[in-house]
Amino acid sequence: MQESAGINNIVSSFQADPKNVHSKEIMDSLRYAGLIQQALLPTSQFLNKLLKDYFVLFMPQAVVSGDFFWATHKNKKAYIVTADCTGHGIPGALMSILGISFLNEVVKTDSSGMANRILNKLREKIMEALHQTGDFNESKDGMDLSMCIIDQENSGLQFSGANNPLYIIRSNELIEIKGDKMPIGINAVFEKPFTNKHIEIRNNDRFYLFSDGFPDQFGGPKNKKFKYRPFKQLLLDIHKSNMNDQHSILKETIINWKGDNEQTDDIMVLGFSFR
Amino acid sequence: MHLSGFKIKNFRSIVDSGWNTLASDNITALIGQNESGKTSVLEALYSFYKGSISEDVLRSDLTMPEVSCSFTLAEGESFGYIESIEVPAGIIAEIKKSREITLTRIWFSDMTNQIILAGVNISGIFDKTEEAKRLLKEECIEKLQGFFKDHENIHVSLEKDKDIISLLKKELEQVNKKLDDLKKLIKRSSDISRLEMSKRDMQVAENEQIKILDDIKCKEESLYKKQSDLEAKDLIKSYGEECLELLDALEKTKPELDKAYSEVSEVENSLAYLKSKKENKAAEIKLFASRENYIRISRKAEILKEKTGVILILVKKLMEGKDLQESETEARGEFESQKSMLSRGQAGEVIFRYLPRFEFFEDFSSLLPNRIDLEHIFENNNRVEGYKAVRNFLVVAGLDPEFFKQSNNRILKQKIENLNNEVTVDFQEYWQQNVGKTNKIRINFELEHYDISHSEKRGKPYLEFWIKDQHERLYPKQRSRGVRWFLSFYLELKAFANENSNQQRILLIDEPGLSLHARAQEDVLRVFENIKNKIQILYSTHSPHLIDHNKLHRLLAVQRANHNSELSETIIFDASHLHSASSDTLSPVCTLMGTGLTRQQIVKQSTNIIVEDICSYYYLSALYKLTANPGNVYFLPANGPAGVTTLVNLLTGWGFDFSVLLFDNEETHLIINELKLNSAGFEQENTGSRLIFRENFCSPEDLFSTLDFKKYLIKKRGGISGSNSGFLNNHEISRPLLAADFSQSITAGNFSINDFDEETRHNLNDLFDSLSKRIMISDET
Repeated sequence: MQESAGINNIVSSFQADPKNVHSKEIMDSLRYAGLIQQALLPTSQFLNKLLKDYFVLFMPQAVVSGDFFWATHKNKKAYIVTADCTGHGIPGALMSILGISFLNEVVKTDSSGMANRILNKLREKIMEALHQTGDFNESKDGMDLSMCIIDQENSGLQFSGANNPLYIIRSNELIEIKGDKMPIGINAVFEKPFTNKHIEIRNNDRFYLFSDGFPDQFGGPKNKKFKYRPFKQLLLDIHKSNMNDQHSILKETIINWKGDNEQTDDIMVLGFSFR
Repeated sequence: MHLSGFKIKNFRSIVDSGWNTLASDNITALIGQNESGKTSVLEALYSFYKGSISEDVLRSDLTMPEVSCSFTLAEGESFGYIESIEVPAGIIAEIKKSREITLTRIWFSDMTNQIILAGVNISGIFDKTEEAKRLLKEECIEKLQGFFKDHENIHVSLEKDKDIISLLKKELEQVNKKLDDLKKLIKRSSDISRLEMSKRDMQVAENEQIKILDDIKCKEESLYKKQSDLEAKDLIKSYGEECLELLDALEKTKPELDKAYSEVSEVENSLAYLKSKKENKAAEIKLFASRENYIRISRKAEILKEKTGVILILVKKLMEGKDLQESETEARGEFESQKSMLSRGQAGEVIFRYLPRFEFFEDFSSLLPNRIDLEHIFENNNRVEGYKAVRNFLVVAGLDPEFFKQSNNRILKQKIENLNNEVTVDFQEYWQQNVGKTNKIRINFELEHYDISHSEKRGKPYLEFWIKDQHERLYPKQRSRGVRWFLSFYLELKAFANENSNQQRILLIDEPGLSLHARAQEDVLRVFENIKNKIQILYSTHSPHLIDHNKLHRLLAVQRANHNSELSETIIFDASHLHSASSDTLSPVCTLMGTGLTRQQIVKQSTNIIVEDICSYYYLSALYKLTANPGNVYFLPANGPAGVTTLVNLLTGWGFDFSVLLFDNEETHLIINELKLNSAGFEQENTGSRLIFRENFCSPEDLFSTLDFKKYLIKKRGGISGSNSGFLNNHEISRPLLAADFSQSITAGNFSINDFDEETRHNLNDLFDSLSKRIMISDET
């Protein structure tokens, strides 16, 4: 399996004037913040143990990222999360730190083992922390998120999503499990409980969690978004390759698509299977 | 060691009481109407200890009584004496594991009795050991029968071999003769063709000779083997035959022994009806002879039993192929080990010696006298009026009779003065009644000497007793019967507790304090409380004043199965089943509680659920209406967690069935511990428990998901990261108002169960399922 080391690739894109002392200081601070954020993400050793067959394509748009992935293990179950916080760069990164720390707390204290209840709790924490009460002029920040709880012993997977889906490729067909149309944070109308989807894991199933960075990337001959349909087709085309190859193809495809354009948003795709 | 339970069978009106558990805090009260069987319970327990019964206790069908008592070993109590007894493997471990010893005393038709070590698992081990002995005998007999058959077959086969050898030898002789003839023929023959023919014949004969010799050799070897085998088997056969003979003889001894025993009994019984000296003399001679005969047969049976026991093992070992010496040593060893192994009866006898001493106090007839001569004390003259009461007084005061031999009269008087104060202060601790408004009675004794008016006793010392108050100084006999009874009771119990304090004791008291004023009866309870750590007490009573309304777990309700018939059998209900007892049986408790609430409509006979506060009441009664759970439950709110125990005691006393529903918070943890300690039915956290505990839910508000809590209760959108109950505490929101508001919304039909989210519905279903299960269990019992 493979992960993108985002920091080194992205640092070069930072247009700092080396002669400007302030810019250099800011750059150093950001680089250090990026290292801290990187340290909060699950290590490849941990993911190797937890998922065995997987890849993470993680390409932050800046030194720090508003996308993050998170994983843990509890009661013989693997918990996998990909999240896309509002904004990117520093604001997104701050929100991601909040999300990671709340996820740690909520999953640790949760006794239900149900993905939707964890998302409900996480939303409460974010709303409380950001003082979101439904008032007109308050912040609407939050995050879109997908959570999978994998019970390999019983070949079961729970999915709950906040505005984000889960793609499953099974028998050469892509199945989209949609998330609930609500963020983790205050909703436009009343908050409703997140729903839980139970999926039976079958041999050779491929699972993909992602942020909107990949399909929303501008580029190509007409400088348009990559879009979801080609993204789905790309996954269908490559799903039989091994995870390392899938990672390389996705990365190469999006870099080629971007061309000389700037990266629009943080990009994250997490794929896994149970062969 | 504490008497934790009993079971009585076939004792007066009791057919089978089933197991009844006594209060763990050492005081148990039997309540019930007259003739319900309370005294029978106490008498049965005392008979368990004494061993003897009178024919009066037998039921009309003459089935013999059986009383079982279970004793629980206290934490840290030594197992030393139990470990030293030799019982089949597993029994000691079982006792150690359960920390419980059960003994059963069984009476037989001749009024003799036996005490045995019992208990379900322990009896199972004894049964297995006895079964193993029986199987050894049966297997041995079966194997021996097979062995004898086998032996006979070998013997027959051996004889056949002998015959065959004999025939072969004859054949050999013929062949040898033929060979000799052929040799001679060859020697004499000149005809070449005939010579050749004779040589061929000779070759054939020689081959035949070799074959016969081989056959003989083979048969002889076989014969030798069989003979050796038979010799070895002869040894087993002879022991086997002896074994069967011994078993047969032992079997024959049994009817002989029974007959001899009957003869002895017959002569013993006839003694009562003889009138003349001559008849008596003849009967005594006959009794002596029959006893001698019985002893002789018993000894014979014992010897046979021992011999049979050894030889059975010996034969088994020999048949396993061990040699005689080895088998004999092992058989002797195994038998000795079996012999030293105690039977359930012997083990029962040994353990019985370590049981607490049972005392049965029917009354306290030895009342304190006005005076008693010291010489009677020194001489232990228990025929003198009030001796026992005085002796008890001296024990309570901590005085040895030698004390009165003190020569210095001034010191003696001073010490007596001090002791009078000590005894009075102690007595006043228990006797709470005032004579007049504030004064309490004082107990005094004085050492006096007879004056000239008693010429015979002049100068001799005596003790004089007074019971005085501020105004009067009266002799004990001038006081009321109630005061004298209480004083006597106080002295007896205190003395009993002070004496032999090393031995554990169980006091059985039948209706204490009948003649006492209600207040004084409550004082009796105080004395029980005071001595309960030294003495376990079981008493029967009709009086509500001898029941502590906060300790209803101490009650056993005794009544007839058919309330209207004195001929019907006695049944007993423990505190957790008081609701099944009749209202007449429970009348002392109802009186104690204030009224017979069985007639009101607020609390129901069953399916009452005590909840800790009014908020729980509002939420649960409202939510229960929304669910589709069958049956009605009635939620009763306590005024906070601390009030739960009061409600538990009230409902127990009124004879209602109930459960307690508690949420998981610090206060309820304390209540749960208290309920487990002081109330019946909360001991175990299984389906039979009266306790329904919602782990991880601090209060009923936590049953709602955070979203539903915000939507239907507080009606705000802000995030809540902690528990709902924590949020209410932190924001100082009035729980009762919120709960009442919610209850009204439900009553107004503002929403249904399906309006709640999956998490809330799951929590509610889980809770109400537990309630339904508890109701079903309650209905079944």
